[in-house]
Amino acid sequence: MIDEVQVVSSPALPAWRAPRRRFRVSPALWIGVLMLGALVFAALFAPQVTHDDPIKTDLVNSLQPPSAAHPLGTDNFGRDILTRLLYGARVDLQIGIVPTAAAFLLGLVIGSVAGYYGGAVDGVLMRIVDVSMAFPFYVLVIAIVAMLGPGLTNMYVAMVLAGWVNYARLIRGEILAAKTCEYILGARALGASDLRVIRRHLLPNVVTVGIIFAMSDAVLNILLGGALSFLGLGVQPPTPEWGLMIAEGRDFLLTSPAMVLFPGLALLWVGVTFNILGDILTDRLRPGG
Amino acid sequence: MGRYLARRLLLLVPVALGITIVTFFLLRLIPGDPAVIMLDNRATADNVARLRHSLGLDRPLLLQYVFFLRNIAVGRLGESLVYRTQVLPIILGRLPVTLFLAVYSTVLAAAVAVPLGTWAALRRGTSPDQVIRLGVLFSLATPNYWAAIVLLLVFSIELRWFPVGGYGATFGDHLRHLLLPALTLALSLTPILVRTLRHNVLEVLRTEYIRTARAKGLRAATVLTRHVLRNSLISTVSILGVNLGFLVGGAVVTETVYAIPGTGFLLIKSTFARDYPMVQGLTLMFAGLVILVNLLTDLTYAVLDPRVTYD
Repeated sequence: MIDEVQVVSSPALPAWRAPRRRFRVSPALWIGVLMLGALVFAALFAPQVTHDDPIKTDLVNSLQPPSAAHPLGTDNFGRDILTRLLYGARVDLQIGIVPTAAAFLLGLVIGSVAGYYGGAVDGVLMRIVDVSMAFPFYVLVIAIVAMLGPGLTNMYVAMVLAGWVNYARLIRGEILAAKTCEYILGARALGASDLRVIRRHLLPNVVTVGIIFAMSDAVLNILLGGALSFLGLGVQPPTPEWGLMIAEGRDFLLTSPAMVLFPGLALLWVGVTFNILGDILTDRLRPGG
Repeated sequence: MGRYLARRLLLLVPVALGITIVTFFLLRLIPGDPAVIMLDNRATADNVARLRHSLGLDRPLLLQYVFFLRNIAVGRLGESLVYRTQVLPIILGRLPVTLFLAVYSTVLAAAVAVPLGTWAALRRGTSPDQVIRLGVLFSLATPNYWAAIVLLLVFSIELRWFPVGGYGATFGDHLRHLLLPALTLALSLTPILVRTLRHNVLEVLRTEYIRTARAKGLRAATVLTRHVLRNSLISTVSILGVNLGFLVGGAVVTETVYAIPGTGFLLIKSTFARDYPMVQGLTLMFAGLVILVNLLTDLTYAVLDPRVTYD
């Protein structure tokens, strides 16, 4: 029999608290996020930051040096270079996002089907991937644009047609590895349909690798988009796009180097931003990968 | 090795056929009647019918493809609409320029990347490593056509050290004319090589045989050159092969900026001239080159690394 009940005082057992997830924000992440923020700000608020028209020509004020009215000077058509840079962020970010997302989605669907069903479906789809990968990416994109004709939409079509294969191969590999896991066998044993297994169980586990790849692919697409516009095959004048701005500034290198210098620095900015964020994403989501 | 080569060649057959199918259908991507678009303002009914016949567009699709394959087999890739002659001799005439540029830039990139990648790995986490990684980051993000223009402005126009463009006549001329273009291409290739080599050196440094080599008292320089670099460079060779496509793509832009008479510049000029057979021929040739170099890379890899078996 218990004569005396001793109450255990609370300080002996610390009160339960939900574990706090330690999410250390590295300086590199700060830099990457700030750089991306500046880009998005420029793209979204270009009309508020500057009141100049990015397209309207003003030949009286062409090739002006930097001044209070035009901090980076004007181009050969008298357009404010800073204004065109800010509006150009819209076009270039769009070039980074639209074809990348479309190629990602197409590759995701084809890679999932090939990896999940295997057999003849996989054989045929992967041979198509092998063939596409034999073509140098730039050459294939340029060849498709050459046939379809220059312009932003055709450039997107070419980038997607040439770019989906990387995602398909990547996702197929991940699906092949994941589909033998026990949770997939369990889902199948419970009677889940193929579509449900792919959509609810496989894709959430393999999509990370696609997102990581998409970060570096977005940079490549922005640089490629700029290159095509520079060559006259992508965005057409007078739309403000950084690659096109560099092409337009080539003939005025000695009189107005700002026309070439600043769009190039803007592209460099985008490249560095996405590379920093891509590296951090790789470290966080796939340690050692 | 012989069996491996035979198997690799056999595997190439479906890929090569696939390449011809893609290239064949490339011309069918043209919206509307290709003959009308190619002829532009010369598109009279007679001219269109003649061109349709010469391109084989008046035959059934399957037959068109069979003729296309037969023509490829005898080296007839089509007639240029600009030069009014077969495209293959024109392409082959320009190909050495592009290959010279590709090899030149690879040599320059390797000359910079091998010491930098090795140094970064040996000094992992220190300031030199951080500086090299930062350089890699900026180099990867630099648009090569922009770098080309800046180099042109500084070294050709301001300092007048190098010619503004062209290819030159002698080997020495080629080296001088193509230095800036090769540097431009190397600027894109070097960061990829530095990253790969740094990663490979770090992997090799963790292996048991390096620990053994150090434990038996070998000098640090001997361990580095005989064991670390030798093994790290083998896997870097495969990266060089894989990057040929990347180099060719870069060459298209670089040749255009520097006005170098290579196949890249020809592709862009043909695109604007709507010389579709030339674009088709160049695309086919580039793809063929890539699969050939990939095959050679695999074989080199098998020769360099005796541990690799291909059963």
